[in-house]
Amino acid sequence: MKRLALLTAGLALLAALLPSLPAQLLGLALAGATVLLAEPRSFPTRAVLRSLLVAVVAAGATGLAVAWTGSPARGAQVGVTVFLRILALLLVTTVAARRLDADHLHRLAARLRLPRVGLALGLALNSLPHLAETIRDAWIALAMRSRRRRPRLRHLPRLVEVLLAHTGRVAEEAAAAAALRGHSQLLRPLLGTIPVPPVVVVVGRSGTGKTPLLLRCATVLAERGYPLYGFVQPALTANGQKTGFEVLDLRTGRRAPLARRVGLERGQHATPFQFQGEGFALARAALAAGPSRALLVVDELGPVELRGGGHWPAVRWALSHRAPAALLIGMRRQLLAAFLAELGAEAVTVVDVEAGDAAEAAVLRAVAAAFSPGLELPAGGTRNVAGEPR
Amino acid sequence: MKDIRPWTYAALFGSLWGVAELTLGTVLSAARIPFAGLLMGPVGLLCLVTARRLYPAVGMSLLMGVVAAFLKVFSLGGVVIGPILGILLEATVVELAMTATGSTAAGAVLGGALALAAAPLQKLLMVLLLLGEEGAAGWERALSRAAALFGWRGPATPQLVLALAGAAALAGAVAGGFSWRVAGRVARRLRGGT
Repeated sequence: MKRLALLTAGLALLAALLPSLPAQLLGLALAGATVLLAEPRSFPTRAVLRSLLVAVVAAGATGLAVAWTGSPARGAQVGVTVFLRILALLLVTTVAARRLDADHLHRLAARLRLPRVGLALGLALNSLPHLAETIRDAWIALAMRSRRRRPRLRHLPRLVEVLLAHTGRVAEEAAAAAALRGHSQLLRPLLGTIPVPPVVVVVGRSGTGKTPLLLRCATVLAERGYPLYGFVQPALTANGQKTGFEVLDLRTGRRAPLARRVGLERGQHATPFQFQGEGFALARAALAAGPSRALLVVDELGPVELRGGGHWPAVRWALSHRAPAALLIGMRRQLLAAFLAELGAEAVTVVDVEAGDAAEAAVLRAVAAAFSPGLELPAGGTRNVAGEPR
Repeated sequence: MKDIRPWTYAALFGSLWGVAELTLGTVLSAARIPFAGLLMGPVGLLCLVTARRLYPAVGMSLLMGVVAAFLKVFSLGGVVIGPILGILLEATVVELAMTATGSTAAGAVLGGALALAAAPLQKLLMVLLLLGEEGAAGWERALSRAAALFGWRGPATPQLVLALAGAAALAGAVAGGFSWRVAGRVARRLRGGT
């Protein structure tokens, strides 16, 4: 029955768009059949009356216009044609609007082998009330700040900016949530069938201390006897300004320059930095020389790696050839979702660097759990694996 | 797409566009404000350009259009064929412009100009679709004759539509540039985590 209704609706639309009067009559008959097939009892009378009113007004005005400039007979004919066409279109679209819901679209998208489109539509529908509420809250907040019943017009750009930024944040969170749940229809991990160990991710904004935290944790873990390898990327500074980065091999303590700040105009990969081969070579060597079943430390994965460049091939190689027991990684918060999606890891611990002292304890706990679930960490010293003073 | 973010960005920004269409768009439509599409165009442009600047993935603008059009189906305004076509047209035009220019500011300006210029043309197309060629021609003749009764000998309807499309293109280019600027500020806000 549903398929028949769909067929009659399609034919009604097609007939309504043809220019001849018989086609319009057929279109209206098919539209009526669609209504009877789709909603034999529940089709609202109000919708029919409204459709009739719109069609009568549009057809009457058009008929009069044609009659005034041409002949009355022609005007009457055009008026009838327009009436039939608009009525048919209105009936079919009203039925479609009443019958269409998220489930229908989801199923349709799945049938068309476009499951992601269906999921995106579902996510959009679910987020609709939240976004509407956010708009209202932001509006009220702005009004209160300007001590008026309504915000001033000059505040609108700021309101728009806040809303867009909030939407971006929700999109990131939704992606992260989907990745954490291992949403198979949304994910297509880069690593394919390579097994991924438990992952501990240290997230935070640029300059909030991800690298020092990773270095501290690596030092403590090495002191406690955990086998580990990998690298961190400390910032290079001059006169309090960040001038670049270097790679520090955690096992050997060797260093090599990785990136030099040159400004956005001359920078590579849409960054203000120019990258140097020595740093990548040392990072590659650090990952290649690691033992099996150890903790792999990588600081940090950025947008370049997420596009499959930078350190990514070396990380991928280490994951497939060294089968690390756990992966400790540093990255910016906004890249987390994409990273998790690429990796497709099942066990993930996310630690916020801005949690202070709790962050270090959380990383140590997570790594210990990855090596031996349920095992408590032994009390340990503070020697730095790379010979750095703490 | 290997990353899931294009899907979530398209869903969320499309949803934001949909919210604007369901609220502001419905109010404008119910109030019978002429050229409501031209007023709603920059709102959609802002969402399209911001999402594209935050995550420049090919096809995302088109998907946002599908999402916003899908949400528009639930509009209280009743029949929404015109706005749905307008949303899809705007998304398609911005998608083409952004893809052709590699998601740059030039793409935002070009996409904005084309998207808003398309609004009067889309209106014309809708009139042709609903009233037929003869009905639309009848309206044009009647309007010209009515104008002549008042002694006004202005340009013909096609010229008026073209002039309107030109003005809309200019406004669209400005809106596109503004959207790109706002998108930059949004990106900085997100990077800064504030």
